[in-house]
Amino acid sequence: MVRFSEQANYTQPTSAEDDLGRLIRWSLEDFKVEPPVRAWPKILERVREIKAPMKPRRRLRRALVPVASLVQAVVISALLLALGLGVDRNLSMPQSNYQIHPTPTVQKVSVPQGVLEDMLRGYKLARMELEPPAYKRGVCP
Amino acid sequence: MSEDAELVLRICSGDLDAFETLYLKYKRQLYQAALAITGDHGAAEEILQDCFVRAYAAMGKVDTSVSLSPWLHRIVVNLSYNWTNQHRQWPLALDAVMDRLMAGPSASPELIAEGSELREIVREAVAALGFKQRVVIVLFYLQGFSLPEIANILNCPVGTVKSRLHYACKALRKKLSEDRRLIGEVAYGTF
Repeated sequence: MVRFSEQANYTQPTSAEDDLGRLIRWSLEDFKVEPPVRAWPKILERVREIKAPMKPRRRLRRALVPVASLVQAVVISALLLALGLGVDRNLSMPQSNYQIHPTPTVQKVSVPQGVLEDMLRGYKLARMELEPPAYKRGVCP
Repeated sequence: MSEDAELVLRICSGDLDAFETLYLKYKRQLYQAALAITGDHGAAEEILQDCFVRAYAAMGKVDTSVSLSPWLHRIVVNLSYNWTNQHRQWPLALDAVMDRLMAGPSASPELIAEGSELREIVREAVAALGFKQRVVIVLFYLQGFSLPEIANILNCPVGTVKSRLHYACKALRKKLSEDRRLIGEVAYGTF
Protein backbone atom coordinates (compact mmCIF):
# COMPACT_ATOMS: atom_id res chain seq x y z
CA MET A 1 0.00 0.00 0.00
CA VAL A 2 1.31 3.39 -0.95
CA ARG A 3 2.05 5.57 2.06
CA PHE A 4 2.33 9.30 2.13
CA SER A 5 5.18 11.08 3.78
CA GLU A 6 4.31 13.61 6.46
CA GLN A 7 5.57 16.44 4.30
CA ALA A 8 3.60 15.49 1.22
CA ASN A 9 1.72 18.48 -0.07
CA TYR A 10 -1.31 16.74 -1.41
CA THR A 11 -3.99 18.73 -3.14
CA GLN A 12 -6.50 16.52 -4.95
CA PRO A 13 -6.88 12.78 -5.17
CA THR A 14 -5.97 11.17 -8.48
CA SER A 15 -6.93 7.91 -10.03
CA ALA A 16 -4.08 5.73 -8.84
CA GLU A 17 -3.56 2.40 -7.15
CA ASP A 18 -4.23 3.65 -3.67
CA ASP A 19 -6.72 6.32 -4.59
CA LEU A 20 -9.00 5.64 -1.66
CA GLY A 21 -6.10 5.94 0.77
CA ARG A 22 -5.12 9.24 -0.83
CA LEU A 23 -8.66 10.50 -0.61
CA ILE A 24 -9.00 9.54 3.04
CA ARG A 25 -5.65 11.06 3.92
CA TRP A 26 -6.51 14.22 2.06
CA SER A 27 -9.87 14.49 3.80
CA LEU A 28 -8.38 13.92 7.22
CA GLU A 29 -5.86 16.71 6.68
CA ASP A 30 -8.40 19.04 8.24
CA PHE A 31 -7.88 17.40 11.57
CA LYS A 32 -4.23 18.37 11.61
CA VAL A 33 -4.66 21.28 13.98
CA GLU A 34 -2.99 22.33 17.19
CA PRO A 35 -4.74 21.80 20.50
CA PRO A 36 -5.86 24.94 22.32
CA VAL A 37 -3.27 26.67 24.47
CA ARG A 38 -5.55 26.54 27.49
CA ALA A 39 -5.21 22.75 27.67
CA TRP A 40 -1.78 22.71 29.32
CA PRO A 41 -2.58 24.91 32.36
CA LYS A 42 -5.60 22.73 33.05
CA ILE A 43 -3.49 19.58 32.87
CA LEU A 44 -0.88 21.11 35.15
CA GLU A 45 -3.53 22.09 37.65
CA ARG A 46 -4.94 18.57 37.73
CA VAL A 47 -1.52 16.95 37.87
CA ARG A 48 -0.49 19.04 40.89
CA GLU A 49 -3.46 17.66 42.80
CA ILE A 50 -2.44 14.05 42.34
CA LYS A 51 0.44 12.25 43.98
CA ALA A 52 3.75 12.19 42.14
CA PRO A 53 4.26 9.00 40.17
CA MET A 54 6.58 6.30 41.42
CA LYS A 55 9.79 5.41 39.69
CA PRO A 56 9.36 3.36 36.52
CA ARG A 57 9.59 -0.34 36.82
CA ARG A 58 12.73 -2.05 35.78
CA ARG A 59 12.50 -4.65 33.14
CA LEU A 60 14.19 -7.79 34.37
CA ARG A 61 16.85 -9.05 32.10
CA ARG A 62 16.70 -12.66 31.14
CA ALA A 63 19.29 -14.77 32.88
CA LEU A 64 22.07 -15.96 30.64
CA VAL A 65 21.70 -19.52 31.95
CA PRO A 66 18.17 -20.85 31.73
CA VAL A 67 17.39 -21.56 35.38
CA ALA A 68 14.27 -23.63 34.79
CA SER A 69 16.09 -26.05 32.50
CA LEU A 70 18.93 -26.34 34.97
CA VAL A 71 16.59 -27.21 37.81
CA GLN A 72 14.82 -29.78 35.65
CA ALA A 73 18.12 -31.38 34.71
CA VAL A 74 19.23 -31.58 38.35
CA VAL A 75 15.95 -33.17 39.47
CA ILE A 76 15.92 -35.71 36.66
CA SER A 77 19.54 -36.69 37.20
CA ALA A 78 18.94 -37.09 40.95
CA LEU A 79 16.00 -39.40 40.27
CA LEU A 80 17.96 -41.43 37.76
CA LEU A 81 20.84 -41.73 40.18
CA ALA A 82 18.55 -42.88 42.95
CA LEU A 83 16.95 -45.50 40.72
CA GLY A 84 20.24 -46.58 39.23
CA LEU A 85 21.90 -47.20 42.55
CA GLY A 86 18.83 -48.99 43.81
CA VAL A 87 18.67 -47.07 47.03
CA ASP A 88 16.50 -48.83 49.56
CA ARG A 89 15.22 -46.56 52.22
CA ASN A 90 14.41 -49.43 54.60
CA LEU A 91 17.99 -50.60 54.65
CA SER A 92 19.46 -47.28 55.35
CA MET A 93 16.98 -46.21 58.02
CA PRO A 94 17.33 -47.42 61.56
CA GLN A 95 14.63 -49.71 62.86
CA SER A 96 13.42 -47.26 65.45
CA ASN A 97 12.57 -44.59 62.88
CA TYR A 98 9.44 -46.23 61.59
CA GLN A 99 6.49 -47.99 63.12
CA ILE A 100 5.51 -51.55 62.38
CA HIS A 101 1.80 -52.05 61.97
CA PRO A 102 0.64 -55.66 62.50
CA THR A 103 -1.18 -57.24 59.57
CA PRO A 104 -4.89 -57.72 60.37
CA THR A 105 -5.71 -61.44 60.86
CA VAL A 106 -8.88 -63.47 61.58
CA GLN A 107 -8.60 -65.02 64.97
CA LYS A 108 -10.30 -68.26 65.92
CA VAL A 109 -12.71 -67.83 68.78
CA SER A 110 -13.50 -70.80 70.91
CA VAL A 111 -17.23 -71.45 71.17
CA PRO A 112 -18.68 -73.89 73.72
CA GLN A 113 -20.11 -77.11 72.32
CA GLY A 114 -23.66 -76.52 73.69
CA VAL A 115 -23.96 -73.18 71.94
CA LEU A 116 -23.11 -74.73 68.57
CA GLU A 117 -25.72 -77.44 68.99
CA ASP A 118 -28.37 -74.85 69.88
CA MET A 119 -27.51 -72.79 66.83
CA LEU A 120 -27.74 -75.86 64.59
CA ARG A 121 -31.11 -76.82 66.02
CA GLY A 122 -32.44 -73.31 65.53
CA TYR A 123 -31.23 -73.29 61.94
CA LYS A 124 -33.00 -76.60 61.16
CA LEU A 125 -36.26 -75.40 62.68
CA ALA A 126 -36.17 -72.18 60.72
CA ARG A 127 -35.56 -74.06 57.50
CA MET A 128 -38.45 -76.39 58.08
CA GLU A 129 -40.80 -73.48 58.53
CA LEU A 130 -39.67 -71.77 55.39
CA GLU A 131 -39.90 -74.82 53.10
CA PRO A 132 -43.40 -75.50 51.60
CA PRO A 133 -44.97 -78.86 52.55
CA ALA A 134 -44.44 -81.65 49.98
CA TYR A 135 -47.72 -83.04 48.73
CA LYS A 136 -48.17 -86.44 47.21
CA ARG A 137 -49.50 -86.57 43.63
CA GLY A 138 -53.30 -86.39 43.38
CA VAL A 139 -53.84 -85.64 47.00
CA CYS A 140 -55.03 -82.23 47.91
CA PRO A 141 -55.44 -80.97 51.42
CA MET B 1 18.67 5.73 27.11
CA SER B 2 15.93 7.06 24.83
CA GLU B 3 14.53 10.58 25.10
CA ASP B 4 11.21 9.28 26.39
CA ALA B 5 12.87 7.11 29.02
CA GLU B 6 14.87 10.07 30.25
CA LEU B 7 11.73 12.19 30.43
CA VAL B 8 9.90 9.49 32.35
CA LEU B 9 12.70 9.27 34.91
CA ARG B 10 12.68 13.03 35.35
CA ILE B 11 8.89 13.12 35.67
CA CYS B 12 9.02 10.41 38.30
CA SER B 13 11.48 12.46 40.29
CA GLY B 14 8.92 15.28 40.30
CA ASP B 15 10.21 17.36 37.39
CA LEU B 16 7.15 19.02 35.86
CA ASP B 17 9.24 20.70 33.17
CA ALA B 18 9.98 17.25 31.85
CA PHE B 19 6.28 16.56 31.85
CA GLU B 20 5.69 19.72 29.84
CA THR B 21 8.35 18.60 27.36
CA LEU B 22 6.52 15.31 27.01
CA TYR B 23 3.26 17.18 26.51
CA LEU B 24 4.74 19.43 23.84
CA LYS B 25 6.17 16.42 22.07
CA TYR B 26 2.93 14.46 21.80
CA LYS B 27 0.09 16.96 22.22
CA ARG B 28 -0.46 17.55 18.50
CA GLN B 29 -0.62 13.90 17.46
CA LEU B 30 -2.85 12.94 20.36
CA TYR B 31 -5.19 15.86 19.91
CA GLN B 32 -5.51 15.18 16.19
CA ALA B 33 -6.24 11.51 16.81
CA ALA B 34 -8.91 12.35 19.38
CA LEU B 35 -10.41 14.98 17.09
CA ALA B 36 -10.50 12.66 14.09
CA ILE B 37 -12.10 9.88 16.10
CA THR B 38 -14.67 11.95 17.95
CA GLY B 39 -15.14 14.78 15.47
CA ASP B 40 -15.60 17.19 18.34
CA HIS B 41 -13.10 19.87 19.39
CA GLY B 42 -14.34 20.06 22.96
CA ALA B 43 -14.17 16.31 23.34
CA ALA B 44 -10.71 16.17 21.81
CA GLU B 45 -9.45 18.78 24.26
CA GLU B 46 -11.00 16.96 27.18
CA ILE B 47 -9.53 13.67 26.01
CA LEU B 48 -6.10 15.26 25.64
CA GLN B 49 -6.24 16.56 29.20
CA ASP B 50 -7.46 13.25 30.61
CA CYS B 51 -4.82 11.41 28.64
CA PHE B 52 -1.95 13.38 30.12
CA VAL B 53 -3.36 13.28 33.63
CA ARG B 54 -3.72 9.50 33.38
CA ALA B 55 -0.29 9.18 31.85
CA TYR B 56 1.21 11.18 34.70
CA ALA B 57 -0.48 9.02 37.31
CA ALA B 58 0.70 5.83 35.62
CA MET B 59 4.18 7.06 34.76
CA GLY B 60 5.74 4.70 37.28
CA LYS B 61 4.30 1.67 35.52
CA VAL B 62 5.33 2.59 32.01
CA ASP B 63 7.80 0.52 30.05
CA THR B 64 10.69 2.87 29.34
CA SER B 65 12.41 0.56 26.89
CA VAL B 66 10.00 1.57 24.11
CA SER B 67 8.52 4.82 22.77
CA LEU B 68 5.64 6.31 24.72
CA SER B 69 3.69 7.10 21.57
CA PRO B 70 1.76 3.79 21.29
CA TRP B 71 0.97 3.85 25.00
CA LEU B 72 -0.33 7.43 24.87
CA HIS B 73 -2.33 6.68 21.74
CA ARG B 74 -3.86 3.69 23.47
CA ILE B 75 -5.05 5.96 26.27
CA VAL B 76 -6.51 8.36 23.70
CA VAL B 77 -8.29 5.57 21.86
CA ASN B 78 -9.77 4.23 25.09
CA LEU B 79 -10.92 7.68 26.18
CA SER B 80 -12.36 8.34 22.72
CA TYR B 81 -14.20 5.05 22.92
CA ASN B 82 -15.73 6.08 26.25
CA TRP B 83 -16.71 9.44 24.83
CA THR B 84 -18.23 7.88 21.71
CA ASN B 85 -20.28 5.53 23.86
CA GLN B 86 -21.64 8.43 25.84
CA HIS B 87 -22.32 10.57 22.76
CA ARG B 88 -23.69 8.21 20.17
CA GLN B 89 -24.52 10.90 17.66
CA TRP B 90 -21.67 11.90 15.43
CA PRO B 91 -21.44 15.65 14.94
CA LEU B 92 -21.58 15.87 11.17
CA ALA B 93 -21.40 19.63 10.97
CA LEU B 94 -17.75 20.59 11.12
CA ASP B 95 -16.44 23.83 12.36
CA ALA B 96 -16.11 26.73 9.98
CA VAL B 97 -12.52 27.06 11.16
CA MET B 98 -11.74 23.79 9.47
CA ASP B 99 -12.99 25.03 6.15
CA ARG B 100 -10.97 28.20 6.46
CA LEU B 101 -7.86 26.20 7.27
CA MET B 102 -8.41 23.91 4.33
CA ALA B 103 -8.94 26.67 1.78
CA GLY B 104 -5.77 28.26 0.53
CA PRO B 105 -5.65 32.03 -0.18
CA SER B 106 -5.14 31.56 -3.94
CA ALA B 107 -7.89 29.04 -4.45
CA SER B 108 -10.96 30.09 -6.41
CA PRO B 109 -14.35 30.05 -4.65
CA GLU B 110 -15.59 27.21 -6.91
CA LEU B 111 -12.58 25.08 -6.12
CA ILE B 112 -12.87 25.84 -2.46
CA ALA B 113 -16.53 24.85 -2.47
CA GLU B 114 -15.87 21.67 -4.43
CA GLY B 115 -12.95 20.61 -2.27
CA SER B 116 -14.82 21.45 0.88
CA GLU B 117 -17.81 19.38 -0.15
CA LEU B 118 -15.69 16.43 -1.17
CA ARG B 119 -13.82 16.48 2.10
CA GLU B 120 -17.05 16.66 3.98
CA ILE B 121 -18.45 13.70 2.09
CA VAL B 122 -15.39 11.59 2.87
CA ARG B 123 -15.37 12.67 6.49
CA GLU B 124 -19.04 11.77 6.76
CA ALA B 125 -18.28 8.37 5.29
CA VAL B 126 -15.44 7.87 7.77
CA ALA B 127 -17.68 9.03 10.59
CA ALA B 128 -20.33 6.52 9.57
CA LEU B 129 -17.92 3.65 10.16
CA GLY B 130 -17.99 1.68 13.36
CA PHE B 131 -15.67 2.82 16.15
CA LYS B 132 -13.06 0.10 15.62
CA GLN B 133 -12.82 0.64 11.88
CA ARG B 134 -12.74 4.42 12.31
CA VAL B 135 -9.89 4.18 14.80
CA VAL B 136 -7.85 2.04 12.39
CA ILE B 137 -8.49 4.51 9.56
CA VAL B 138 -7.42 7.45 11.71
CA LEU B 139 -4.31 5.76 13.07
CA PHE B 140 -3.26 4.50 9.64
CA TYR B 141 -4.08 7.41 7.36
CA LEU B 142 -3.92 10.40 9.67
CA GLN B 143 -1.26 9.37 12.16
CA GLY B 144 0.77 7.28 9.74
CA PHE B 145 1.23 4.31 12.07
CA SER B 146 2.20 0.98 10.59
CA LEU B 147 -0.05 -2.06 11.00
CA PRO B 148 2.10 -3.62 13.77
CA GLU B 149 2.13 -0.29 15.60
CA ILE B 150 -1.65 -0.07 15.40
CA ALA B 151 -1.89 -3.64 16.62
CA ASN B 152 0.27 -2.64 19.58
CA ILE B 153 -1.88 0.40 20.32
CA LEU B 154 -5.13 -1.53 20.06
CA ASN B 155 -3.68 -4.59 21.77
CA CYS B 156 -4.87 -6.96 19.07
CA PRO B 157 -3.21 -9.13 16.38
CA VAL B 158 -1.89 -7.53 13.19
CA GLY B 159 -4.32 -9.69 11.21
CA THR B 160 -7.23 -8.09 13.02
CA VAL B 161 -5.94 -4.62 12.14
CA LYS B 162 -5.52 -5.66 8.51
CA SER B 163 -9.02 -7.04 8.46
CA ARG B 164 -10.53 -3.91 10.02
CA LEU B 165 -8.67 -1.70 7.58
CA HIS B 166 -9.77 -3.82 4.65
CA TYR B 167 -13.43 -3.78 5.63
CA ALA B 168 -13.29 -0.09 6.50
CA CYS B 169 -11.91 0.72 3.05
CA LYS B 170 -14.48 -1.54 1.45
CA ALA B 171 -17.29 0.18 3.33
CA LEU B 172 -15.93 3.61 2.45
CA ARG B 173 -15.59 2.70 -1.20
CA LYS B 174 -19.17 1.48 -1.27
CA LYS B 175 -20.52 4.48 0.56
CA LEU B 176 -18.66 6.95 -1.62
CA SER B 177 -19.66 5.20 -4.83
CA GLU B 178 -23.30 5.40 -3.74
CA ASP B 179 -23.17 9.03 -2.67
CA ARG B 180 -25.36 11.05 -5.00
CA ARG B 181 -23.36 14.20 -4.47
CA LEU B 182 -20.34 12.55 -6.04
CA ILE B 183 -22.07 11.22 -9.14
CA GLY B 184 -20.91 13.23 -12.12
CA GLU B 185 -18.46 15.17 -9.97
CA VAL B 186 -15.79 12.73 -8.95
CA ALA B 187 -17.18 9.45 -10.28
CA TYR B 188 -15.56 7.69 -7.38
CA GLY B 189 -17.22 4.36 -8.13
CA THR B 190 -15.15 3.89 -11.26
CA PHE B 191 -11.84 3.92 -9.38
